[in-house]
Parts: sequence; structure tokens; C-alpha cells
Amino acid sequence: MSFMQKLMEGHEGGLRHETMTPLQKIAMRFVVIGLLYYGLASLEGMLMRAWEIKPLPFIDETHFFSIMTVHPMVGIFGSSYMIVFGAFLFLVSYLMKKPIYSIKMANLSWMTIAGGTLIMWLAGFLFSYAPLYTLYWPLPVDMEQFSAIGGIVYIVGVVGIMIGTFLFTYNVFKTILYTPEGWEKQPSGDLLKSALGLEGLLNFFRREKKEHLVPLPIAAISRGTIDMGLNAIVISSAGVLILIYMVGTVFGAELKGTWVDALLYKNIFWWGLDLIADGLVLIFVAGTWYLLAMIISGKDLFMQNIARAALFVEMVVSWTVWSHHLMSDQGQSNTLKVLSGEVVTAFELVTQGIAVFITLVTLYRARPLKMTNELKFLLGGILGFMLAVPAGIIQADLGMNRILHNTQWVIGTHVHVAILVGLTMTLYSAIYTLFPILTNGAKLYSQKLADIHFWLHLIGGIGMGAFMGMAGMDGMLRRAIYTNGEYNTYMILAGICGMMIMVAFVIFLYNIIMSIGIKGLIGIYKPAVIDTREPLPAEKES
Amino acid sequence: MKYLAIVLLLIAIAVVALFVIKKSIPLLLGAIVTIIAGYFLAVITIAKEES
Repeated sequence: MSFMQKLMEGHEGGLRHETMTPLQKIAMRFVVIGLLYYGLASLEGMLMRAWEIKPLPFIDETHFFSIMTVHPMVGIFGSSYMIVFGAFLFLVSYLMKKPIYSIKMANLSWMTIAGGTLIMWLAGFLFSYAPLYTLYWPLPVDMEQFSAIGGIVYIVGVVGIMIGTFLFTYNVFKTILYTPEGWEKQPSGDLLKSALGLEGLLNFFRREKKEHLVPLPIAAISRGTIDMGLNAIVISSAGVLILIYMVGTVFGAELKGTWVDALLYKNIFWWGLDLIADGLVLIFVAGTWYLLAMIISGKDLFMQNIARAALFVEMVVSWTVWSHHLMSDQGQSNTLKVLSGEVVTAFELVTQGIAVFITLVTLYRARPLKMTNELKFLLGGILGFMLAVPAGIIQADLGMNRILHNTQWVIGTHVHVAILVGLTMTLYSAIYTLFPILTNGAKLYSQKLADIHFWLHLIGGIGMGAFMGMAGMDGMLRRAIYTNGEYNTYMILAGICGMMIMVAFVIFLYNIIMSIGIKGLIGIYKPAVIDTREPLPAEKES
Repeated sequence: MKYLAIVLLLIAIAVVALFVIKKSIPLLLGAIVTIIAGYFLAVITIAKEES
């Protein structure tokens, strides 16, 4: 078979998309777009990495900051949300052994999130809207720096993303709770109590424990989805506020920025955003680790009830930690700084530590294990969080925060190691695990390429975080431009590592496309031939 | 859909809170508790649709 034939047809027959159920197709549609947005975020990241070494002639300073504004949004919502939504919509149906509630809603979800991300990105690309992803008040409505049209386009994009998110949350809970046609009536109230952890909490006080009605990964998906919904409410509110001011400007209405207290806004904004960073990310990752550990080892999870309890505790903890983002704000209450910023935040070492311990013991007890792609990337993901979580706890100390606040340490050692090594390697593990299930047995083109992907991503991700962190400890700020080469050594090394991550992604993408073929890739977006709301084709289920 | 109606109401409450709360920590904590409780109520309506 020639290279072109293989590219078109895929490896060993590629992806036979006509055998896929609508839900398998939806999952793949989410994942493909999520990976393409990851590529865009990577490209944006490399442009910024290059700029920090030496300013690029074709990107001016304003545009540097508009790239910095859209980059996390593309990475979080365009990429991570999309990959997670695709996997979870499939897994909720697959693990609950019931049809998904609404195929239409699932399709609408990926379209609105993908479209919303593109519109939001265009606000940065075309209008240089650049208040940064933190949207600190009154920056987003500063009409001297940014155009009202740019801001309106940005918010329209964010609204699209939030609509898709709310559709996802509704579809997930509905699938868990509803009674499919022809089925015996499902105990929706009891299912919800089990999913959210109330049954587990009540079991502590009962002599006769009630059985858990939902599998452990579904409990993780449910609790993380609560935090997702809460975050979507906060982001939507910030969006509505900004839109009110933008539209006011367009119609000549004088709306004062001082009508909103900037510190109060920052509190509510970070309360909301931490429901992603300290809430759903940690809960979803823990749940994914548990699922992957059970699949890889073929055994039950070690200390399952503790794992369930820890997921509930993590959900509640995530509601209370936001003040670690306000430790260097002079006006912030000291009580909140200490209790919320330090004490409760430190508890995340315990909840995430429990997740790491349970996952590793489950795997350890199943030795000998073959070092498959799923296992390699799972271990990489665990390593990522074992580095990034302590880095976060270090900066969530009042004393250390004075030195580290707003430096490259925060965005390098903590944020990017957590996202790129911790989260992304966990997602890659899930992708490699689900690949044969979602594609009805398509074969991976090259194991050698998968190995190169792993090492380049792991070393590049940790390296980039480390060099950014060292620059931060030497005083390099984040969200700042340095033009005298003060931190060039670190920036060149971080740039090399960033390039390794990008090359790793290109290799992975090439491997996947060669596995499923271009025809298979296009076929994912064609209407399904099979008419069912079940996750797998009938012959796979029997 | 009751879920959507409650979510929209919570968004409206949060927008009003951004204008009204200013420097009051009790009001800030009250807003947070309201949003959490309100969202759980929204999710419970999904279960109630099925009973």
C-alpha cells in the first residue's frame, strides 16, 4: 500500500465509520475538534515563547496580549472541555448501560462550543481584544484600550461556549436519571443522591449501608459536572456584565466602571474559575484515573469507598479555596486569605494525594502489568499532578506568595505542568484507552510514534514548566514583556521544551490520522447509518 | 425546562450581586451560598422531571 493510499484508507482498514453508532461519532467529533484546538493553543503558545526570546516583527505588543488572552480560553474550552465532553457523554451511557438521553443535544453541544471558541478567538485575532483571560475589572470594558465591537464579539463567543456547557450538564444528569422507553422506572431521586455523594455521606451514619447505585467514575463525572455548572453561571454573569457595558458604549450610554467594586468582582470571578481549576479538573482527573486503573489492571479499585468520599470532599473544598488567588491583594480580608487561601487550599494535597495513592496501589496490586500507552500516559499524568499540586501549595502560602505572585512560577511550574503534563497526559491515556472502543477496533498505526509522543511530551512539558519556574524565582513576571534579554537563557530553554510539546502533538496527530485514514476522519462527521441511542453497535453489546 | 429557567435566574442574581455587594464579605459569602444552593435546586428539577 502506498503512503497516499494508507493516508486515505488508514492502517489495516482504518476507521469503518459506517459501523459507528451516533454516540461513538459524537464522542469522536468532540475529540477531533478538541485536538485541533489543542494544536491551535500549541501554536499560540510557541508564538508567545518565541516573542519572549525576541519580539517577532509580525506581531505587535497589543497582539501579543490578545494571543495571551485567547490562548487559555482555546486551551481550556476549545480543547480540554471538548475532549472531556466527548469522552464523558460516551462513558455516562456506556458505564450506566443505558442509552444517552439526547443525541440532538450532544451534537448541539459540540457545535456551540466549537463555534463559540472560534468566535471568541476571532475577537482576539481580528479586533486585538486583550483584557487577558482573567478579565480583571474594569479592564474588559476599558474603551481606551479595546474596541466595543471586539468585546461584544468575545462575549458572544463565550456565550456560545456556555450554552454548549449547560447542554452538556443537562444531558449528563438526564442520562443518569431518566427512564428509557420500555425500561422499569428508574429511582431518579436515589440515583441523584448516589451520584452526588449524599448516599455515601448518609452511609457514615447508618448501621446497614445502602448500596451505591452509580459506578464510581459516574460519581466523579456527576460531582465535577456540578462544579462545571456553577462555573458556567459565574462566567456567564461576567459575560453579561461586560456585554451590558459594551452595548452601553455602542449606544452612547455612560456606564461607570466604578459601579462594580473591582475586588468584589475578582472574588466572584476566581470563586467561579477555581471551580474549573480546583474543582472539576481534580475531580474529573481522579475519576478518570480510577476508571483507567480499573481497565488497565482488570481489578476493582483499592479503597473504593474512600475514593468516593474524597470526590465529595474535593467538590466541597473547591467551593472554598478561591482566596489563594487574592493573597497579594491588600484589600482582601485576612481571614479569607488564611482560611480560604491557605488552610482549605492545603487540604487539596490530601484529596489529590488520596487519588494518587489509590490509583497507584490498584495498579501495584495487579503486577505484572504491560507498559501499554494507556499505562505510560496515566503514570505521566499522575507525575504531572504530583509536581504541579505541591507547586500550587507552595505559592498558596502568604509568605511565599509575596515572592511568587504574578511571576512565571505560577504559570509555568504550576499551571502549565498541571494542564500539559497532569491533565493532558491523563487525557491522552483516556484517548488511547477509548480509541479501540470508539472506533470499533481500529488499529494504531505506529507504536514507535506513540513512544516518541510520550517522551517528547513528558520531557517537554516538565522542562518548560521548570525553566519558566526558574525564571519566575529570579523575578520574571507573567503577563509582561522583557525586551532587554533579562531572562533569555530560561526563555530559550523553555522555548526548546515548548517545541518538543508541539512536535509531540504533531507526531500524535499524524499517528491517529494514519490509523483511521482521511476517509475515516471525514466519515466521523457524516450522519450515522445506525439508528440507536446505545453507545455501541448491537453486535458489540451482545 | 425548569433547569434552564433556574440557571438563567442564578445568572441574573450574580449580575445584580456584582453591582450591589461592594465590600461586604457576608453578602459575598451569601451570594456564593445562594448560587450553590440554587444550582443544586436546578439539578434536582432534572430528577423531579423523571419522577
